[in-house]
Amino acid sequence: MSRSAQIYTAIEFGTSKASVLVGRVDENDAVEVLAFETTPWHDVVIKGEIRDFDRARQVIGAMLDKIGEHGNTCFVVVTGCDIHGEIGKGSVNINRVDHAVIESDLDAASNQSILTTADDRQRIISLPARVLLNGTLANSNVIGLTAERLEVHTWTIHGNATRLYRYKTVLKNVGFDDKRIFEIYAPVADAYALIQDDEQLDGALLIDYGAGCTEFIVENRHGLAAIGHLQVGFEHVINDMSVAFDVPNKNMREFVEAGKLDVCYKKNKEGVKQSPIPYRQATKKRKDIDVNDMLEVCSQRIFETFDIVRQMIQNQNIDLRSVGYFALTGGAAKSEMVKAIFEEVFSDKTCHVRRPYGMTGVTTGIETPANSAIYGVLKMARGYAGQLGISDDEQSDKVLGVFSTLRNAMLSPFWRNRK
Amino acid sequence: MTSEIAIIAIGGAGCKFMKELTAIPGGCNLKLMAIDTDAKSLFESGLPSESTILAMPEWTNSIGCCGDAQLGNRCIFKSGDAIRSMIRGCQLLVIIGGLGGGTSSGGISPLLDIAKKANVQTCCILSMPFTHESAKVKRLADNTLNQNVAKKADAVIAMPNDLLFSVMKKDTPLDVAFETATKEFSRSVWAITEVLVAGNQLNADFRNLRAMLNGRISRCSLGIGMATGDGPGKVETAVENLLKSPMFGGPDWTSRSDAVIFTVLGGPDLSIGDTKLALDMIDKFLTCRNADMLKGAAMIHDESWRGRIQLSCVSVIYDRIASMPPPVAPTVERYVPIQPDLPMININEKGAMDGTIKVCFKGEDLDEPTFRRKQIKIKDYK
Repeated sequence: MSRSAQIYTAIEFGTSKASVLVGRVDENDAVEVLAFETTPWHDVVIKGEIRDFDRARQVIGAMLDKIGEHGNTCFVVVTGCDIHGEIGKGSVNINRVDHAVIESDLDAASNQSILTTADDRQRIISLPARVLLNGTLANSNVIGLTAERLEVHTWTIHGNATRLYRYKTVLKNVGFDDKRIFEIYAPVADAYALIQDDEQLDGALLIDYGAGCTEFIVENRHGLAAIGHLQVGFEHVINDMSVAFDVPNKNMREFVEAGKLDVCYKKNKEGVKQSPIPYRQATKKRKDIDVNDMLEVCSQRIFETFDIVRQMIQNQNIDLRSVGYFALTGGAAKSEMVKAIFEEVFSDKTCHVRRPYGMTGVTTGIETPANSAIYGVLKMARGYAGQLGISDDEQSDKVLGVFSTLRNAMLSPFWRNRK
Repeated sequence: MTSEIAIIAIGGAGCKFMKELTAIPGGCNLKLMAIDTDAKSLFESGLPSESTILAMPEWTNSIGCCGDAQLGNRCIFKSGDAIRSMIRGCQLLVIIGGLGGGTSSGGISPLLDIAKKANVQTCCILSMPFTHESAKVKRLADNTLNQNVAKKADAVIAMPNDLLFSVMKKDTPLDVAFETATKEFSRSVWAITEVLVAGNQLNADFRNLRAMLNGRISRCSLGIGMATGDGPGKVETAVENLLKSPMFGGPDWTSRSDAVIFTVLGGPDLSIGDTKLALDMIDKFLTCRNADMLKGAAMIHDESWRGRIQLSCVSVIYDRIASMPPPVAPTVERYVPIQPDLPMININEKGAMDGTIKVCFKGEDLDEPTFRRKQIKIKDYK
């Protein structure tokens, strides 16, 4: 860890838990974890939207108090909130005698390509999609190449301002300054943490199957190819079971978290005959839940969720045959059943389950797929803050997005390797 | 100022109407209030801050609900104490607003509940969005009107903005259309409240209005015709102005009316001759022969009304499906099967997802269990 490492705080308001991760991040994005706290909760955040402010504030505040020193700058994972991305296009004609592309051409085209948003929308981040020279997709660094026309396509990710502001409301209440709270869209953080450069060059799809939402991101050699989320998560599987078997959600959740659903799945796959699962509620007669019914109810929901995500990706003009690497993360990724259904939906492609890795320090409890987004946010924090020109002493209300400021950032090695 | 009757504006459109209302010459002698989640909108309503309520600024950052009716509902509900103290002493609360927005569509239901618990009668005068506004806005407005407002308010006058198409040209710019709708709606509100206040007490008009509109889903148009001066021609001018009134809807609308409420208001010099002339003329010009007609006249004992006559006509079309009596099923001998039927499952059961943000994909509500939507058969565990 270099001596220039700075302390940042990452916070996640999940549907099944709240988490705070504090760490030092150096100029190479290496993370030394100083503290990690997580608290299970329910009915505070539903489908990525904060519903119970008081409880959220109380829980996050308690975790920060327990951690102690946590730095002034906070990065929060956001999802839901009607967030979606749109591609803007900018172009310049290169009229110089040598027609060589220079940085200012790239900056001018990218500035044009960043979309402005309506008053009720808040821009979260802008990310590179692709660059074209004379109408042809560029596959490498374009600086120095010759062309008469340079076109830059950039994603602008934006969400409903009021719904996003709820995150800031809670964080302001626990002591962070309004201007030092930055939102990062969950799939962007996931990708930053988990997708390697060489995987991206082949085309990589990452799905984060969480409790409240399912996020997806597709990257390729040019940049970000598709991004989005569906406000359906593993809580819907639990809810389906609760409705089907008339058992409270709490009991079904305990059953799943104890790994018993996966045990049933594995035995079923091996052809082992299984007895019905007994369930008795205090005032009611005991009932026996048929294992096949249980697996059917779960698999229908999981299959549908992945199938809808597949359709959403295809609706963004992505041919999944061009994707070489399929990865899954999120709390539900621990399940064999989920992994198997993922492979079924995505035409038997191997599903790589990914989890946070590579950090030092207090790592206990972090290295599970459920923490991918919060870890990714912390990993991005240094580069992100640097691009916005924030130091510990300064305040900023900038939004990351101008093309030239992305050269060390985020997704595409194409941009990272620019000279 | 009459404190028994108050007007409260809800939402952004309501605040715009309130702004126009306060600007009408002669003003409004009623207690005026406004509630919204957008601080700017409340400021622009023209009311002093003690007459306004900014609902839950910490949730919305004071910039409004951005079309989120659920948030609007919660913000207004949470502001119950402030609303109760503001409407204390009122006998009739006139609620004005534009359905389709987040605060108004979501907030009107808790506002009506609060008024009902406080034994305050309610008359809602609401605008309905233009047909060319988004389908989502239209659906929200219709659902709010049909499922909440019509059931909770004592009287509802819902005026579609499309009525303006009877007088506006096709090439009218959109901003002019909205501005016209706002102005005309505000004039309509003023006219109806003048009718309600006439005599400075609740008169038969509200009871009759209520009888015609309570519990029924309907769309209304409102024509106002005013004229001032002495001598002949005053009544004819007022009738002409009424028939040309932008929110009256023209003959297309009135010919389909199921009920009409017509009122003549005048000052201390209102004569029986003028009243009869106005009533005869309106009979002649209204084309809705089969409508229920309710006619009334009232004198306002205020010198500022001397020489003035105001005619107002609310024309009501009931929703055909909601208004029809339920069909009587023919009696048929039932076949009794040998095996008993399986118990019916509530197909709308969403469990813990009920009441959360709706998630739809290709027309399917994803919060409903997948196995139910796909009709996968499992044993009955109830």
